[in-house]
Amino acid sequence: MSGFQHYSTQTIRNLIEDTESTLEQLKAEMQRREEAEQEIQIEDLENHMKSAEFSLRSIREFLAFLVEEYRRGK
Amino acid sequence: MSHLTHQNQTLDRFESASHNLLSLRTIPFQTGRFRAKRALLIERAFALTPHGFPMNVASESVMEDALDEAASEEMTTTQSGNPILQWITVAVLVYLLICAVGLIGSGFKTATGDEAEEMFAFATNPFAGLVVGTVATALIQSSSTVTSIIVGLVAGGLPVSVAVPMVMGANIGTSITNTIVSLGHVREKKEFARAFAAATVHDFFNLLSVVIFLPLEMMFGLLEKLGSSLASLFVVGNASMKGMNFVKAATAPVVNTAKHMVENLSDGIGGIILILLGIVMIFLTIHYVGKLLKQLMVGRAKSIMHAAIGKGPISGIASGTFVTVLVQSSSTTTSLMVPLAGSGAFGLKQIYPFTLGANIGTCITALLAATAVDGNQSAALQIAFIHLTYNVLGVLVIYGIPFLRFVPVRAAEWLGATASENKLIALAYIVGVFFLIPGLCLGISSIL
Repeated sequence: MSGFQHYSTQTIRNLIEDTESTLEQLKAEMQRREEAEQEIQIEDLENHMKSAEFSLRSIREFLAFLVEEYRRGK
Repeated sequence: MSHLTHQNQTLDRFESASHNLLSLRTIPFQTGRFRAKRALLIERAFALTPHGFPMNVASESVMEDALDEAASEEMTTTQSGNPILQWITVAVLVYLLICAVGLIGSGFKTATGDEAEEMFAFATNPFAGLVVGTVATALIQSSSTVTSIIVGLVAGGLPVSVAVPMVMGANIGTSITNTIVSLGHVREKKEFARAFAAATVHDFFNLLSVVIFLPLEMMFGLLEKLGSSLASLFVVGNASMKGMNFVKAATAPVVNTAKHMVENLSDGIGGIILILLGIVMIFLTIHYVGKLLKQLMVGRAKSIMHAAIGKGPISGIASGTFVTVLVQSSSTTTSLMVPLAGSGAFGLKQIYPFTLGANIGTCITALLAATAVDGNQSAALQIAFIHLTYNVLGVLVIYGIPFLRFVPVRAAEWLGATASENKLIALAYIVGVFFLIPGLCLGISSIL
């Protein structure tokens, strides 16, 4: 906060405008990146479909992990 | 500026490399998809390259490998199976599915005579019906199968009022699939928290939906009335269906042949054989239709999901509905959301609308099955429309009322975070919600 009290009202107004504009640009860039990442994940849908299939292996691996964690904790 | 120029030059080199890759192939590519993939790979490469640092030679080589992989994937997709043959198989399987529902209706009618109501007397308690629907679906892993069987049973004489809680239970039971899929992410704590939350948001939505609509159904018969009104639009008099009799006529040869084969047996045994045959056929047809449609429709599902990105919740709900209609399985759509959320690319609030759409899209199977049943077609259509109305109203009420909207999201986020800290909670949750609590409820309701 230091030094702002010496700024003129117009300078502060300009700074606020610049900050708001930068914030908007940063948000837009963030959204663009998020959407690009989502596009990439969807493009990989075939693989996701394979990993999203129900299999007893998931349960076995989960139980094995639980046992492993329990042994580590002992 | 110089780094931008270098990036542009690199991009040009990649464009040229991918162009060469394309031109080298003799097999025609589905160029739209390949180009999209190439663009995304280039995008990914730049995303991975920190600002101010041009892409290095190693990254370029990785990109070329990735492009090559994409090209060979494209070739594999183009070459795998004959789509026309696969579509014919889908049509035959759908035909057999409709026949199977008809068989269950006929078998149930033959086996029970006029005593269908007494046979299901144990389920007249709505909680018992709810439990039957939940456990049956959790065991079979397919709500489409269970609702199709229910449609067949209703056509054969099972009272609609008994079937309504079963349909609600089927919604709860189906969400076990994606919850189990989320267990696969257990080794990464944050990933597991996100994946488990993405799976259980569906459970919480379905549980909340039952909490709202089951009392309304018990007090006012709300869904039964709505289902009846919708069914009456398609049914004339007692049995005919406006403009859809051709479906029944088309399935009659199979259903009649099966009936003919068991007519020498007693009514009870013959009926039970027809029911069992129908159940096995439904299970197999839905399983194989799902498998084939996954292969055939993955490209279309991608386009739908690409189109929904950044477009808001309504678009998400619509996408979830369409993708589920295409793959004929809500479990597939909701399970697909698990790795997407687990990767961190999609937030829970973005996944949630897709999940709601899956609930709506899955109703198509029971509606399809109800078009050709033998027996009480009006009641069969009524229960199929009840299934649809229940799911549409659930979305409208829970997502439409701001204060209810994010209750499932908050509950799922909390459970995801808690289960990632103590994995035993995840196991206790699955066993408890899908088997133990329903079992206890069934036991208590049978004692009372």
